[in-house]
Amino acid sequence: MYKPNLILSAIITLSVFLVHGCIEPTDQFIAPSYDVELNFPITDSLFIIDDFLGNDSNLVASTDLDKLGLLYYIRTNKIDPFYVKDNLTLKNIETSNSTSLEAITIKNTPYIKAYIGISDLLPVSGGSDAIVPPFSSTINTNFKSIDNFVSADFESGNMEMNINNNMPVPIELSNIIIKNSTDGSIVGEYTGSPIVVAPYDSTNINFSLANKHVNDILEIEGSVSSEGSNGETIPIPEDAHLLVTLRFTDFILDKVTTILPEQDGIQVDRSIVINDSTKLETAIFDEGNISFVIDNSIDLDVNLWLQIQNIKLPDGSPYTETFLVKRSTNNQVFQIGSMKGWKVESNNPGELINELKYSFRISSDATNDERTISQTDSVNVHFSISNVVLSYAKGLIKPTSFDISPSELNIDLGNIEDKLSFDSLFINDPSIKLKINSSINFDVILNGKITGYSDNITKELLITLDLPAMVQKEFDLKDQGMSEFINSFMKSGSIPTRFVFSGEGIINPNYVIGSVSKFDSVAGSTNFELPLELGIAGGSFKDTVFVDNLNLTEEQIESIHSILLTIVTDNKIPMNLIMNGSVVDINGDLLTKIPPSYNTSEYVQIDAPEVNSDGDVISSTPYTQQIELRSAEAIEFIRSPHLIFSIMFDTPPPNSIKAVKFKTSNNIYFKIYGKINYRVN
Amino acid sequence: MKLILIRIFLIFLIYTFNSFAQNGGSVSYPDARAVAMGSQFAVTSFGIYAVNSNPANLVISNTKIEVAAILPIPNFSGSTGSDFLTVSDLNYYFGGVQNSNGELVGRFLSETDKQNFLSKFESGNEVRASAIVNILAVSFYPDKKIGAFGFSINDILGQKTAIPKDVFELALYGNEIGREYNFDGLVLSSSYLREYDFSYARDFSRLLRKTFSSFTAGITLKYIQGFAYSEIERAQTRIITNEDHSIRVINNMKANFAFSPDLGIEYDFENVRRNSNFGAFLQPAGYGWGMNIGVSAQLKDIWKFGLSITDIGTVSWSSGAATYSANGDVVIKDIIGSDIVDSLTNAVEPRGAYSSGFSSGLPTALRMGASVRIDKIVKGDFLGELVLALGYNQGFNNGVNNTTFPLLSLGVEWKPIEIIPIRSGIVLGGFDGIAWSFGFGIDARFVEFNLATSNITTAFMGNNSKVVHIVVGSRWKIW
Repeated sequence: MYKPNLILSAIITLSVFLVHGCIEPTDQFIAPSYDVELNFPITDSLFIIDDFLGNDSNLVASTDLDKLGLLYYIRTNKIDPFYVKDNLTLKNIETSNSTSLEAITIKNTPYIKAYIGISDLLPVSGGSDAIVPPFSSTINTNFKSIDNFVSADFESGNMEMNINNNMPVPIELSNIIIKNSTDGSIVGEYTGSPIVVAPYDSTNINFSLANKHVNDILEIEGSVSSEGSNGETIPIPEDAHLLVTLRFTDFILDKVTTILPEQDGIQVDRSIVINDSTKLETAIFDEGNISFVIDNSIDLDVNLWLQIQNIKLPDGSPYTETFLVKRSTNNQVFQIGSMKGWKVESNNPGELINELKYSFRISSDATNDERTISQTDSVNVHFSISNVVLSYAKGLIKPTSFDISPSELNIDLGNIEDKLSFDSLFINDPSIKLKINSSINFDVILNGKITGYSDNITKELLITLDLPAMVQKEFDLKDQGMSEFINSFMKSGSIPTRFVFSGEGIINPNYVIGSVSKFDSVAGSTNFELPLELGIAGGSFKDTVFVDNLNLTEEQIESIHSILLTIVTDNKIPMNLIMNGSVVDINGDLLTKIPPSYNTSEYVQIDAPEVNSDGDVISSTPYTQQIELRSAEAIEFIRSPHLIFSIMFDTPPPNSIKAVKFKTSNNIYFKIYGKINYRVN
Repeated sequence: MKLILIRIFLIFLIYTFNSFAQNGGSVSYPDARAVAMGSQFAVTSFGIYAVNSNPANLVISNTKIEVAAILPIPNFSGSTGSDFLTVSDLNYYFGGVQNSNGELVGRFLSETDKQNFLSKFESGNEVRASAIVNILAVSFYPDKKIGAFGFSINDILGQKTAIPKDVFELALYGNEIGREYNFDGLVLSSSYLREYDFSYARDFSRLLRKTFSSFTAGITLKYIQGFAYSEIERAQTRIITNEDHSIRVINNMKANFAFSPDLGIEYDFENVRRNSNFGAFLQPAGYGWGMNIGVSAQLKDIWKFGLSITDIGTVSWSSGAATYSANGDVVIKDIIGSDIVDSLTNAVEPRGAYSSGFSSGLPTALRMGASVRIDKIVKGDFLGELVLALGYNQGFNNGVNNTTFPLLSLGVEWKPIEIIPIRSGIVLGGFDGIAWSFGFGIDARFVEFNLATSNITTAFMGNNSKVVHIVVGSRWKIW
């Protein structure tokens, strides 16, 4: 039993020892730290200018064989279209005219009688035979009332008096007076030799009615005498008498009071001038109104008929209007609010008019009551056409000016003027082109003004552009001194970033026949063309960039020992570049310079290629530079997101502003790679 | 407790485990006797242990019925380790140092430290772990005419990671100009299988009566359920820093995955929620069939010879299978370009998608060996029994739990007394080249206990060892 126990004990001891006893792994697993060096590419690119054109529609390459590939900065802005629209107007037209009734008409010719019986003259009765003794007697007898008027003032006329002697003896009449019985005013008077009227005969006497006032009741006064029957007994008719009859003939009334019959009107044909300088064949109203103000001094309701022959309604008929004008009323207004669609039209095709012909006429109906009217009574018509805007006009339109609202041409350089500066800059042949479309069937002259603005300079350039009718035309403002204008900014060391085109236009400056519609317009665009054929001296660009967070912890940043950047360049862009930077803190205080002072050079230089006399690149030389950032500088560079970089640039040859050409084929090769040494923790 | 857990984790994760080398092929049944004798299973596994090693040995048994179960001790094999780092290395590089404030910080690696670390990769670059549990095993050997029957259920877990040296060179020194870093050989494999094994063996001695006194043959059919699998099918990755300072990244990788839904694993490309429902019977993600075949011969009672091919077969993973792949060839010349990140991401970042399935091979291996009873050869009074065995294992693939690196071993079992066998072996080849296995057992007639390690030097070398491998087990010898 001894041996088995010994063996068993040994085995058990060994087993326990085997299972775990001597293995002592670490309690805490902690990754080691070490220094590592990483090589990494940053960029290896050939930047050809042509590659960037697709992203910037403002930079285009010339296809002109003489300047093939030359870059142009082109900025196009639309000119706000000017529409003829409300500018096609007519001056307000107005006129006044009065008209009276043609003549005062009364119902019938007045005809009145006065009867004087024989017994009123002498003591003899009719119906018997008797001796008529000589007698002399006065008469004063009223006529029967005049039915035709109550009173009347005659301008002219004749009052015919007929004396009928129905007695068997001759009579003599003398000193005959016809007078108004109401006031005794004399209407007619006969003072000549006695009028002898044979037995059973009659005779006439005429009186002038000129300027006579006649009431409806007249009376006759006078003397009647006779020799009698010379003592003979003669038969005396039963109805022996004198009959005096008055008849008004050929008269013109100056005024009358009566129940009036229908009065005839009088038509007036007139014309009114539209504009002294504009002659129209056709014009269509877009807006406008016509109004009438009528004063009626006639004591009659008047029918007013009016027609403007050269104004046509949309259906083509002349504008005609009829108004009923109340009697003895002033300031009666009739108005038509919209004349849209109406036309001014001459009477014959091709005929040009500058006046509107119109006619009007008044008349009245018979009255049922007495009215007093006179020849001086009238109807005054004042009509006006105002606020006229035409939608179309054809004819000889007078030169019409209009304002061109300012159109802005912004050269979007961002806020580059704050960052870019240069001593001088010369741009070869810059210009602004105006491309203008005119749908106006007249020539237009644009008297414009280009105002250029830089951050500290404002300048103006006056231009005059002749724009033929109905064309699209491009104006190169180089011809008007635009190149010099732009370069005048550059010489002052500033860049114009905004141009404003404004001014006025004159339609039909040559005063010829044509047509214009309110829809006609002058529109177009401004093209700013800046050829990148330029020379720069003393250019510099400074900006602050915020380098995006690299998602590195402070511990990771602190673990950086050094960064070595190698920059290989081969520049075929005609420009010298000298670059350096400063890492600053949030307050702008300098932390370190890039490249640091211990570098071979304190800047990165990219030399311009060789250019020929035409400004074209002909050769270049590759160049390699290194920037070393040791621990402190590397950490500041990585840690601080603010980097102020400065680029100084000029075009070759040095110290000149001879223009060099920037073309699509220009390129610059950049190869940048780095090596970073840092500690992995 | 935390420290203990950390130790266990590190031991199992980092350390080399020479059992694979000693196995010299597929991981076999957790047979402590065979492991202790140098992992030569063809002539050292008998009874229920023969089911997965050499089924012909089922009929070479002194008992008619054997049973192995959870009690009293389950048959278990567990291993972990790497073939290039020792515990001392681990402690040195990852144990940290105290700074002036007494704080434990990461060690700063000098140039010498870096070189020393990289020199470790001359011996290998793999980290492996495996665990095999025999849940149930039964063998029945009624008589010679009928033959022997065997049945076992085993859960097999394996993990294999291999990181190319270039990865560490790149990490430690950065990318050198003109240098190509090759990540070929990156391995990240894992597997979780359950085997149901059915074995039959019988005596065919009459066929070779003139040559051997006994000749047997056996076969094991395996029905396999797969619960989890991952592998990098292809990892052809290069990082080249060219003379012009550009960096070229070439990537052509493909990885396959399949998981039982009960594991609750969600792919990043799918929009589903799965809850873990881990239990004894998981829903399989793959199915397969396999086979072990073997023959065994004896010459008198002194010599034994064995030959077997184990784990012939495949597992098809079709349920919940996904493939992650990345393919690209990117030259980084300009990091300013806005699309470089996208291009690099497309080339490097794997993108997943459901796949129609894939198959994985079992850890097929050839095993052969011969043993001799020394105590029967030596004349005179010999203390106990002494068996000397020589074996050779050859794996046919490099999957999880297998290697194509051949293994030659010489093992002994000495029973100074009947109930306590002592075993040991010398292993040549495999991952470490040389290992010393050791184990012992307690054979109490009806029940047998065994304990072994494939490399006893772990105990002696302490922190200089690379592996831990423990095999324990028991079986009931009922009749």
